[in-house]
Amino acid sequence: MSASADTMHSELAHVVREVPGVAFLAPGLRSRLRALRATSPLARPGDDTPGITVSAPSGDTRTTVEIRLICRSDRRTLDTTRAVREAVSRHLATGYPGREFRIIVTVTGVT
Amino acid sequence: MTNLPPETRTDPDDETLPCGRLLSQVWADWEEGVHDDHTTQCAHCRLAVADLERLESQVRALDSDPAQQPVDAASFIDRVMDVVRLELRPGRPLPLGETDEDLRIMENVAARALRRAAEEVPGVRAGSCRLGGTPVDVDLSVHVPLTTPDVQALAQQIRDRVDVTAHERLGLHLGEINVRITDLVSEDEAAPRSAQEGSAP
Repeated sequence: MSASADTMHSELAHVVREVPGVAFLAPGLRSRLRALRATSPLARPGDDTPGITVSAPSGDTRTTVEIRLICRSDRRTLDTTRAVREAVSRHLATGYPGREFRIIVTVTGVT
Repeated sequence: MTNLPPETRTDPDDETLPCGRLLSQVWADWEEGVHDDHTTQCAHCRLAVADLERLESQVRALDSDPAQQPVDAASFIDRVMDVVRLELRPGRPLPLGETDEDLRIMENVAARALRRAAEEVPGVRAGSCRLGGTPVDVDLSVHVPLTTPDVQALAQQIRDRVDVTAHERLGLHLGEINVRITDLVSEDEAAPRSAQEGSAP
């Protein structure tokens, strides 16, 4: 991952975690399996933003940002995902002017 | 497990691949080195095997990691399989809100919420819950009390509860809600949900 992509992941992770109704970003398979046996839940390199994927599909001028997250059950899931999309959209418009993004928000758990 | 609807008596998470084969069988064949022409050529089977190979490589990496502590193998495998169900078999993404909003919820997550909603109706035990299509159709299997005076009315109550939960808790637009009553059970047969499986979709 390039430094700028790394920065974007970190920024977006912070933005998403601040949205009311978000419990946490979805852990990836690697970190979930490691957590089964880990002596401590210390983060490892590459584990910090597993729920965020940034890609540039061929044939699409937009950069796709996919957020995978676990929502809290005390808020309507749709409202949380809409708030996440708006927060991410606002952040990208400010931090990356002139670029077009497609934002996908996927709920992989409710807790 | 005798009180559960038929789909949950073996493995509630088992999945039929688009080619018609059971995921569990494809994985078992791979582990035992059984190959046939279908598995070799079928894209769905090959993808399923690739998922399992990915998991195996992850587990092997853990075994060689000095930061890990020794654990009981059987319980470790159980926990790994829980992760597998969540990570490799989460069901399909379903549209939340309007279809062009790019907001989605995984099928198993929604199914769990809808099964819980059905079980809010006294005496009802939910079995399998499959979702799909646009708007999202629901196929829900339930057991209801033997003493139910009006099964149709109870099914309607379940539909209403499922619909309200989908709309108010999730924000999922439902199409048809098909409630299939697979058994009538006496009160003493209706074991508490906690004694049964807990992660079926």
